[in-house]
Amino acid sequence: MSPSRTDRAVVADLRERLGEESVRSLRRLRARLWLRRAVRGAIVSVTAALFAAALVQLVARTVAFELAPLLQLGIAVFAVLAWAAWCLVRRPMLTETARRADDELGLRERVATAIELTAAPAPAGTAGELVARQLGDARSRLAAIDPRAAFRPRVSRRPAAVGAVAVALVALLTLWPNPQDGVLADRRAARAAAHDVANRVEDVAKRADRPGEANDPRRQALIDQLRNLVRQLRAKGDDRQATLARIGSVQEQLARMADPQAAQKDAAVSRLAQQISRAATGRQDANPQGNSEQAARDLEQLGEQAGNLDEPTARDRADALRASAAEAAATHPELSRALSAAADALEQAARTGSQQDATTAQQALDRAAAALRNAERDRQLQRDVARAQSALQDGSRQVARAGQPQPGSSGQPGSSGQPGSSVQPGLSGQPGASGQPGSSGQPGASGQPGASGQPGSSGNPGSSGQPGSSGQPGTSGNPGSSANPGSSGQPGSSGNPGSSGNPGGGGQPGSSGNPGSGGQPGSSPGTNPGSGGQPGGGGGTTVHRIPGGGLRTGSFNGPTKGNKPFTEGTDSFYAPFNRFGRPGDPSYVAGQGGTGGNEKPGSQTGAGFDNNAVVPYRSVFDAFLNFANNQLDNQQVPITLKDLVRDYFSRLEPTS
Amino acid sequence: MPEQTTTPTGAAEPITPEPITPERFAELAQTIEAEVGRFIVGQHQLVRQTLISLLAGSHALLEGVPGLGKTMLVRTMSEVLELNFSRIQFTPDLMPADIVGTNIIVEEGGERRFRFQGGPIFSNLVLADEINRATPKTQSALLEAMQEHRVTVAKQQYTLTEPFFVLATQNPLEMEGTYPLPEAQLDRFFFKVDVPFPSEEELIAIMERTTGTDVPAVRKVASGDDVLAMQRLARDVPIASHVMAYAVRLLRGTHPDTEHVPDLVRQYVRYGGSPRGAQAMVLGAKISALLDGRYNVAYADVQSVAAPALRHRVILNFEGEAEGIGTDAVVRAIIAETPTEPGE
Repeated sequence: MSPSRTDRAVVADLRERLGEESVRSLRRLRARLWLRRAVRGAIVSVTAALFAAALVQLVARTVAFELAPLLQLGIAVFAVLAWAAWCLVRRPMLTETARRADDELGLRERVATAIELTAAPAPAGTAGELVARQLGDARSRLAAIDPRAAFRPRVSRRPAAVGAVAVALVALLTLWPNPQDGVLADRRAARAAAHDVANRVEDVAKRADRPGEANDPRRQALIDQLRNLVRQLRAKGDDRQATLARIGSVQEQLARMADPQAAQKDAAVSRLAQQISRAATGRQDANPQGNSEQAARDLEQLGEQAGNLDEPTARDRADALRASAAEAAATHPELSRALSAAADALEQAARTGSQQDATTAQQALDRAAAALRNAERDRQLQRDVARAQSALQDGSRQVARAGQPQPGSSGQPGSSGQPGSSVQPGLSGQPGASGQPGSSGQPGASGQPGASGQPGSSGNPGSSGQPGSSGQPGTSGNPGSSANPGSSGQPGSSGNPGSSGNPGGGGQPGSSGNPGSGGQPGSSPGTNPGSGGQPGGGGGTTVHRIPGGGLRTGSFNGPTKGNKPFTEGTDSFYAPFNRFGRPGDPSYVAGQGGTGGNEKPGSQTGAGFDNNAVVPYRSVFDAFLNFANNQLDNQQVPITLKDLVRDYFSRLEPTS
Repeated sequence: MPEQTTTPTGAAEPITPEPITPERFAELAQTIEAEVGRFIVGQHQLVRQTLISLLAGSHALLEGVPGLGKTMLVRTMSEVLELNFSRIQFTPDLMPADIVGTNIIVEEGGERRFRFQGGPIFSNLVLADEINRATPKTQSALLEAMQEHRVTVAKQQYTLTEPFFVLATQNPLEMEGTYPLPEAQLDRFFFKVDVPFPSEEELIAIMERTTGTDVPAVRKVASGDDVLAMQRLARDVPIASHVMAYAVRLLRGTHPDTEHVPDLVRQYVRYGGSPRGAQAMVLGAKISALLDGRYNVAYADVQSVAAPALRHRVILNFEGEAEGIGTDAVVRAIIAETPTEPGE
């Protein structure tokens, strides 16, 4: 019998020599045999897949193998596909089915012999008679077979035992904690942090990529470095150390680009721009925002008018320009020289009335304008560098802390609440409803950075007494104003870090402090000249007028209590007003440096009232954090202290 | 000068038997076995394998200790089959002429002339008793007749009558002064049949039958023509190619240099069986199938005749002989480790 004999040929011969019933019976037997093979193949496939999965798990326990779940899924899919392919390939042929049936059903090779005999013509004589008898015998046997009883799917002991071992192994490895899980989680966290940092750095790079300043090679170098870092972080963010090293490398590059005097120059440019505009236009209200471009245009305009100015005016303008030049000498010598030259030229032109001198003056003023624009460009570059530094510094912290356990609520620096320190005297001695407790519970509540600075009454910076930078809000208004309760309730400035999660355990100051019932800062600008020795830190605050107000006794001498560890973002928190005003707000008072003011203890009493000053901790925290981030980004905080600020806020961060 | 072929005096002419049906084949075989069984207690395998050898038209070597009924078996079978029977007791001084016959001088019509006088080989059933006691020369004379079914005396060939069946016996114990058959001559025997010692029940039955006064009469149930017809029918039994291949794999399994052979073969067998071994298995399996009432050969048929067909064709090495490894154990190992389907 040819082993390559196809089923079609077999069926044709069988149909002719044995009949259709025998063919059907043989096909049913084949289906049963195929089913048995499929079951056996499935067991083998599953067992093999389980062992492979167990091997992967073992490897994943030895080394951090992040693709292990994916690989296991792939193994499962492969096992299924392999099983399906195997089933297709191993579909039994009819000749094979006949042999198996002979063996399985004890047919003594009757069916297989009959199939073979049908392939050849019947011999003559005795042999032919024997063949006919054999075929008849096979036909009768096939007809008597119950295919359902044949080829029952069965599981041999050994494959079943091996499969059980594989299942047990996989189950054990699945339930047994993987020591590499921590490594993988750390790697994922590092990667996520790297991506976040990459996004932030990319934003910084986009901001730095100003179309009008494309020719600045320093700026282009900055952008290239940032974008290169972005690519590296996105491509290889798994390795925390490598990521930190990359960030550190770029930080080092940026440090070389950064001007140590950037902060001073930045502040000076605005001031100079304002002064130059005033000098160039002769108006004191010119360019109140200190816009450099406006100042440059003013200089150019002055240059155009150089020939038409009378001598006194020109002299005044020249003197003002010289004053500006003197101001700029420390931070922008080039601009200083240009301004001095322009002043001289302007004065010369006015004195001589010569057209040539006028032209010279105009050119000198144009050069001064160009120098001012250069200074502005430098400032913008330094701001971008600082922004990038800030982003990288923040990013390196984020990467370093990614996946690391965050500090919990314990250890929050509590600030023992100071009782209201500047209690304004109230009017008549109305009994205060309740003393505001100090800032108990306000972690680090001293964060009123010089917010209460008020311009001195004389209008000269520094002359009027400004409250110090100790976080005291603006000094109270007029004493005796009933609407001005004392400033008690302001966050205390001397929060002591709680130790190991136990914030200070002192009692609540005051006997019955109702938060929010009083203690609003005065609504009007203070008129008391400050005499404190602490220079004001500038800044500003938005103060709100409190309708009505209560009389109270504004003195708190009770023991303070350590801050409550604010760990939940929904914890109630005393936040009587929006601490961070913005320029342009109606009640925004720009702070200026001052010498600090005197604290004046108050003894006023009054009834407090609820002004909804208790807000969730989260909202206050976010407000502080956003403000701090803005300041960090805007180069308001020295680079060496930025980490301190960030760390501070990290510790205060609510857990939910 | 071309050799002449003649038939000795008294020998039957070759005949063409009438075909018989498989049913008749099975009936005759069963009758023969039953009739022999009236005299031979037990020894069913011995009777069955001897009958298969007879129906295959070949010869058998019976090996067993004396007194187990070997001679009785052959004699009974000859009487049951209505065949001529002769017995040759092999001794060291037995000469070839004592077996095949010789030319003697006779006077016929007043003149002396040689006339061939056939030996005991000219019988349908020949019992070569203790064949290993004769010299190789004498053994060769018998073995040539077994193979060729004819003898040559003085350049004259004489065809033996059919059916011609030699049953040789040898005693495995008394090896002193014997001439063991060479492997090539052992190969001429279709089967080597072991004659086992009877069981206790069989011994009791033997005692009862042989120590009494009743002697059963032998009934002839088949003729020589019947035997020839049965031999012809047996050769027509179809065998599937995969069953034939299985027989070949069994034979190849006796060769230690073949792949996938049992360790027992690789370790203890020096030479495997010749193709005659496969021929014996296939032909014996065909007869076995007919005896079983089937019209095709099954694996089981091959397995049932594998031991008698191969045991004398497997030559053990010195290590095997020293270890006392029997060829039956080797054949059993081959059967056990040879799959019916290749690749399983």
